Amino acid sequence: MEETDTGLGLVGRVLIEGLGIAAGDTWLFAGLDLDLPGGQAVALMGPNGSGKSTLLRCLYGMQPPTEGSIAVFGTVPDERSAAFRREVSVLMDDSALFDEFSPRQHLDLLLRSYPDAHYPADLVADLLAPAGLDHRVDVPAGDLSAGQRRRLLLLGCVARPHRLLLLDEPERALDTDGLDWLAGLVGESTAAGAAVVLASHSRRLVEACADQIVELG
Amino acid sequence: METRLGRFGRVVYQISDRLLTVLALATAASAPFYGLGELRADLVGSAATPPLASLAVLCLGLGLASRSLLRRDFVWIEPAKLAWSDFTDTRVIGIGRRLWAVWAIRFVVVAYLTLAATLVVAGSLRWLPVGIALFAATALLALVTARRRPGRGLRWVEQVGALLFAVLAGVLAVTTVGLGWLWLVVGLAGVGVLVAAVGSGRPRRPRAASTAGRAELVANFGERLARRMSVLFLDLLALLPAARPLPWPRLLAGRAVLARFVVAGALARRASLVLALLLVWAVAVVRLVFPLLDPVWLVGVGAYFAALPFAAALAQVRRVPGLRRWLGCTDPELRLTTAALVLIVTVLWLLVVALFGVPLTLGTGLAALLAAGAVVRTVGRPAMDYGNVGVAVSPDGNLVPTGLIVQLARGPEVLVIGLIVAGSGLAPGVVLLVVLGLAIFGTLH
Repeated sequence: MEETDTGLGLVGRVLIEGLGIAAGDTWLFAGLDLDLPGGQAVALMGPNGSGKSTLLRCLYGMQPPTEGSIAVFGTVPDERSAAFRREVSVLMDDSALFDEFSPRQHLDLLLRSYPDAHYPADLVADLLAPAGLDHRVDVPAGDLSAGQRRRLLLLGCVARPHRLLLLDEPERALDTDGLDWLAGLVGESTAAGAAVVLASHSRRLVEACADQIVELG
Repeated sequence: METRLGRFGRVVYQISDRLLTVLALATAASAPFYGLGELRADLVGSAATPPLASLAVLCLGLGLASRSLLRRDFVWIEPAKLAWSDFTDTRVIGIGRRLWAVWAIRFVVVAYLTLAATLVVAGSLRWLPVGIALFAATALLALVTARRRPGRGLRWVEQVGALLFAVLAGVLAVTTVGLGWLWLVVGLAGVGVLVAAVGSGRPRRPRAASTAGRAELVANFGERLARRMSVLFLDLLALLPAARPLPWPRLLAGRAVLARFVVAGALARRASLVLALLLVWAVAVVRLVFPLLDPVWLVGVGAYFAALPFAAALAQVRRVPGLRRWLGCTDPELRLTTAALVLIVTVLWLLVVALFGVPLTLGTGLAALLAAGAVVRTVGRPAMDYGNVGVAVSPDGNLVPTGLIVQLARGPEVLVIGLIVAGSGLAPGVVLLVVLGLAIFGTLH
């Protein structure tokens, strides 16, 4: 991705300055500042409608903020750019699975089509087993349970190369073990140098993996 | 409280509304019968048509109608009804009534098309008795079979049965065989009716309905609703067939994963092969029955519809951003790979059609190439933008959503323009350049 200096400073971090987002006549929030370097995770918390998902959409370049500025690694976020999409991995409301493909086929597709992706020596043992999907390796995604589908989506987000990980309520449909597994995934991502922004209602998850907490609303 | 006058007005309004619909349909249906002479001159001219041309059209229609009915998409119930008024036995009887309606509509259309073809071709009517018998036996066979609940293997047998009728149409179109052996086909269909009747359920309780569970009823309702909404909002790409799981777990494990993905998308829609083969027969038969129809147009349109379902994977990832994220390639890479696959499909389809008398010329070859470009442009278009309805008023005062129509034309317009050029009689070099340009444009834009 070509890095351009937007006047907001360092190119290795996510910088938010004076950010405000309005929905119609109502301000969801205003004057938000955030400096998130690689290797750290920030959690967005707050009641429904407080603007957590909207902020994630702004960070992914799906909608512009009402005021203020965002720079992701020195560039204005824009999900229409293929180069930007390769840097930023997301789990959002529109994330989906191919119902006809199995977990193995999803990961084959992902890891063999992304440049620089690391294909593990043993796909099942290294990725699917820790996600609790080793006994459903070749089952079509359409036949998986809601929790298993969520685990596969999360695995897809983290398994591909990324410098920024955006997760919108990743704990949805996960059981207690799933929450621990998810916290581990976020930890692995930050340990590899990625910045992570997650919107969550789970205090347990946030305490397990966030370096900063932003309360909205 | 509604007054009597109000109720009367509402009833009159409903009757007049239905009357207008019936009149409009009747006018449209009778259109081919006005100016039959000109129509005959345009489609048949002085060329000799096969002696059993109309019977070939009938067989083709019977094959298509049977296949359509045997999808059994009449087995549905609205979930609200299941939740609030499913306490009596009306569920099965209601589906049974619906089966009668959808069956009647399909075979009335077949009868109409056969009649229209007969009048246009104006050939001998010596096939009429056996034609009527064949129509009656096949319609009954389709009805009785649709009432059954077949296993997976039998479903394939049903599909092959529908294809056999199309093959029969082709045989009738190219040979001058006697009609005697057709009575044998009628007899076989009659035996089929008797065999299929066993296990098809009591008269008012088709087995396909009485054995359908809540999950199936709701799933079919959901599919029907999606189809209706797609048509209502002109989002026709949503009508492309859904993918089915593949029995090869390691299909995507290996080099050239993008090509593997595109091939997997086509294999996951392997059921569309039956439609592609039916289109082969349809084009071959129409070409023989109406010899003045330009084969370039027949091949172009036929190849487009035959190949479209096999490119649905591209439409899938274009419509759902969350699916696109599983692929790390660029859009041009995805389009070009899809184009390569679709071109293979259209060329193979052309070669099969050529076996049945459609000429293999530069024109038909270019039509196959154009169809591939048009397919990729169609499935590669973004989701419909309803913010761009672009309503305009037509000369007769109706509101026309021109913005939506322009979006809908994206893909077919390349095909139509290219086919006009291909059939215009321009120098072959010019035609080649224009068609190549259009195919590349269609693939990349």
